Amino acid sequence: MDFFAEGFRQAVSLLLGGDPDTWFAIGLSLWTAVLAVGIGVAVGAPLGTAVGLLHPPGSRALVFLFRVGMSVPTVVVGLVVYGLLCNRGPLARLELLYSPWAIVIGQTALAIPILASLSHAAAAALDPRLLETVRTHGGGRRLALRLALSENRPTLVTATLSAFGRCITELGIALLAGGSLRFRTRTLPAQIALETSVGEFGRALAPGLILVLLACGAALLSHAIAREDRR
Amino acid sequence: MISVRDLEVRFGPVTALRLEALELAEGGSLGVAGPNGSGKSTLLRVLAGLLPPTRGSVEGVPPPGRTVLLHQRPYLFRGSALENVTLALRAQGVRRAERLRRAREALASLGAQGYADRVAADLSGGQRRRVAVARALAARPALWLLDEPFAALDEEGRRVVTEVVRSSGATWIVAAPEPTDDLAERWLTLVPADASAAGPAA
Repeated sequence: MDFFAEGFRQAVSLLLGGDPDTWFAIGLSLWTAVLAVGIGVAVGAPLGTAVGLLHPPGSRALVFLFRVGMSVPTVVVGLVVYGLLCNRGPLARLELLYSPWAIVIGQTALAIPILASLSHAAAAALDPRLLETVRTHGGGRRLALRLALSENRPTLVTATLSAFGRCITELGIALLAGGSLRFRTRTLPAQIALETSVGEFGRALAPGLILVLLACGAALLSHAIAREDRR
Repeated sequence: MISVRDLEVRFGPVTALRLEALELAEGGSLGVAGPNGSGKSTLLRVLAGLLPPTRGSVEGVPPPGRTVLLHQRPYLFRGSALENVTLALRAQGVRRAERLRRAREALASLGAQGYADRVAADLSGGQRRRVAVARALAARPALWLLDEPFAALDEEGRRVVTEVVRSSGATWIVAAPEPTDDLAERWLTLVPADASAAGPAA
């Protein structure tokens, strides 16, 4: 237990002392995850809701892809992003490999299926009278989609937080596509992996504490939004 | 003139509705009565353009937005009663300030202005019904399709809704379990399609 206590003391001291490595990783992790989830919400939520509500041709294949995307290991996503952006890859000329943007691309690929899949499930469970009510009052698909998204707000909040959790804790993309470069692409999980590998338990625990705090913050936010939504 | 000929709606092996003929002049009213499962709601959904018939023709029905179906159990969205009433106006692209003004007018016509700003989910059955009628009224329909519109309404609510529909000057078709003189000029009685075909409106 002394080992943990000592590590914990060192972690708190690093955080309060403004350790530049840790604070850079916090800033980068938040930036990539928020951006990826933002894109995921903008693309995945309307896509999943449209598929669940309007059942366009190819719906089954799309839903299958959403579900596969939800459970693909992050290291595989990282590998694919690496393959796309490396010197011999089709997107090499963008020169994004080992940049924060490479991490954002990979994390977006994680976020979109989560938001699409959960939005789809929520939209498919909506009362069929919703669509009929919109149609009979002269509304089209766009209005129906906006109202369905509004009806499913609680699910969207949960999906957004799930996607945020998966993005901010992922390691495979950060290592393979980001490269874990100091002060450039080293995220919180990448820092944990690096410090643990060199035996710096306290330095590894500091970003770990931040991830736990972020998880608590996300749960509190979700709770607050759900309570507000019931009013 | 609304004209229906040789209409049949099937859901797989089940025939939900069979109707030889129906005619209704503009500005007129028609009641559709019949027991549960006789196809009243199905007929209204076909007329509303929400359900394609398996066979037969439907002519002279104004397009959605001008034909408004009021469900037996109206669906109200999240948000206030007022926001719900703006639905058709949003669909028409009416500006927000004008939407709200017209929605308040519609609610006032139903005597529902007192709960305009209340969350729809907190309203009673009768209040929800009035909000749904106000929402349809705000669309200024040429044809009302009313599926058991008096469910959950008290005597006063029933009177107000009847008055609103009558004074709108529109055509209306109302479904009810039993024919009621004050709801429509004439009545058509449906029987479950698998038992027998319904005849023309009397």
